[in-house]
Amino acid sequence: MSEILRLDGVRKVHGAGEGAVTALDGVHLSVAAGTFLAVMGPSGSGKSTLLNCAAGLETPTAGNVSINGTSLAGMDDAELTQFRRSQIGFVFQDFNLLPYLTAYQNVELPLRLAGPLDRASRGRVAEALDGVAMAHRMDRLPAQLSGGEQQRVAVARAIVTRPSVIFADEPTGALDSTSAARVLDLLRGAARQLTQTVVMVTHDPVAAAYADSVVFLADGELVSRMDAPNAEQVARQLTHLGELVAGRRAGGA
Amino acid sequence: MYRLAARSVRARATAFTACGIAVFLGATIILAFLTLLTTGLASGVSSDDRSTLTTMASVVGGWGVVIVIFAVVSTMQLAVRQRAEEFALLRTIGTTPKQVRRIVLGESLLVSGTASVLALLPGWLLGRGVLSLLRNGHLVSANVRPHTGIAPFVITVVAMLFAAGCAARFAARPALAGSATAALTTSRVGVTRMTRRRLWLGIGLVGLGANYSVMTMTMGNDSGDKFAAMSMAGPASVFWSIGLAVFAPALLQVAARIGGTLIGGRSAAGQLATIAMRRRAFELSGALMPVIVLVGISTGTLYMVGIDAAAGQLAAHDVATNSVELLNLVVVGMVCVFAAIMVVNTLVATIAARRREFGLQRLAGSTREQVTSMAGIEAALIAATGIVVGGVASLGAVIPYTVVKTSGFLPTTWPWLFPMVAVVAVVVTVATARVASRRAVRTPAVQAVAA
Repeated sequence: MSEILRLDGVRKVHGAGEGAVTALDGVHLSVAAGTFLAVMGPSGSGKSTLLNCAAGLETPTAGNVSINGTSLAGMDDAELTQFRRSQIGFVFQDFNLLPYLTAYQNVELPLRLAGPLDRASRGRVAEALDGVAMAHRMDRLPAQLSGGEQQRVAVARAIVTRPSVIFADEPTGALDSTSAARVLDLLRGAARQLTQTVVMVTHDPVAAAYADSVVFLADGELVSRMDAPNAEQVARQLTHLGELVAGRRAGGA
Repeated sequence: MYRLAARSVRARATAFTACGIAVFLGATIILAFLTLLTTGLASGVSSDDRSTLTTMASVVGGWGVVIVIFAVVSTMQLAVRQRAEEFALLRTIGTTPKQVRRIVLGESLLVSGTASVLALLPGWLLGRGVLSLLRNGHLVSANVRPHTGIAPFVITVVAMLFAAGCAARFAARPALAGSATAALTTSRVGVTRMTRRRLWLGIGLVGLGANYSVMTMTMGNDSGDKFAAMSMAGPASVFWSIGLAVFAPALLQVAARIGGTLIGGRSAAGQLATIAMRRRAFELSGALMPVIVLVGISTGTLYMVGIDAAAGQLAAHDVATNSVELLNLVVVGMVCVFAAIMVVNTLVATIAARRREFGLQRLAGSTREQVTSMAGIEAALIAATGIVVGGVASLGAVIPYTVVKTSGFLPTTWPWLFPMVAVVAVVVTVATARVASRRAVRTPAVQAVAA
């Protein structure tokens, strides 16, 4: 299958001098089209930074990110925004819907920002809302929706542009287990039925088990990979990693 | 509680800076006029001088005070309302409404106290400046010395503390009404309807303005007092402007609807601006109010000066008339400049509070340029609304004054004045919005949203 997302030696250092923290230390990753990939790791392992760099929300200190064959390096802010708008969907832990736009207007927003709306794009908005079973509440404002509903709207917003990759940063972190399962089903469904590539960061083994494969991050490096994961294996691997990192830190200090 | 208040003020520095600036400039102006008053009332001043000084202080100073209090109240409201969610959150973790009220009061006293004390020296100097203008213009005799005493200083500070404290208490009401969770939802959905109280306040103020308009017509020409018309038309323009400004949220919703049909379909920024304005009319109306007041008061009072100037030229070319004109212009100009600074002040505070919202937009795919042009379009709509409404408000003073002083209904002098005021309003509003929004989008979107 064709490669849709590629990270080459991505490094990210926050701050400078004495206080500098290396969040990512040379990450290589290749994701094939239509995969649902989970990124796991102990807290502070650089998961969110990895996702932000891959999605063009943060600029890597070194290395390169390319999506669908286009390198993100060297794009200015406006170019990068336009690229994100057309090629990338993002689902955040805190939903990040615009508070004064209705569910419908929130989903429509990326299309509207890209240019005048035509009939086809209106159809896509309706379809996306239908897909997340939110069509009946599309005139509500985010504050009038439950967390699970808001996140489903956010998924619809990420899907509506038919992007190359959807990134999801702890999409179930603020949800109860029933709402979480629904959101994860939607993401997996997007990968299976729409052959949409999904990259999700999570700390929850149950959530990771929805993915086709899981990669593990520790101290800013990818350390292992697991295909067709189940929650138990993932949890065991995570505990193991936690011990490994703690040991390494103790040894280093 | 006061320590918490101090921390809270620091966290919302921009909104409180706006309020502090309003208090500072307002206190400066109030103290200057109080200085004229105490100087006039001091012993050893001739009765002519006394009447000139006290008239000056009460006529212009009187409506100056009203504008200043309006500015302090509206900026304080802005600072408190922006944190409705914070207060609701405090309540959900067990803070009692009484404690929240004390925090709000603590903050407002801290800000207004500091700013008004800082204004004492400049206010004292300004009072002396105006007095020396009066002396140089031979409006009062050369031997009148400034006499201040302690009272004006105390009155200024107390008035500012009182205005800010009352404003803060009123502004905190919505966040304290109902259950803690209901308040939280309201704070997030936002207020969409004017309260009955606000409606009546607006009606009352407009009624007061209308009352002064009628008084200008009926009594403006009667007495031998040449300030009679001005002392009634001045408050007419002030109360009409402030009264209509109270309706700002409703006016803005109408403007957004009209704007939406005119420019809505053109660009994403235009659509976003008009949708946002309709839903956030209450937040954004904070920026519209000072524009209405600026346009209404500047147009109203400057036309009075203009009409008087024309009348004076016809009557006699004496030195006294010229210096009266100059003095009128200086004093009225002072109040207009204050109103213009308030426009900038409030707009900066409104936009700075939207950093997170702009971040959300950018995460959803807006470029920086789309965000700043949205803010620019909003500002243009706000300015246009302010010009129309402020223009209407000014008529409450301009028509009666013209009728009393000339033979027509509308002034024939200074035809360029209203267009000039309009241009100033547009330029100030749009330029401020562009600069402030450009600053607000400088932070990377991810950080702006996390903050």
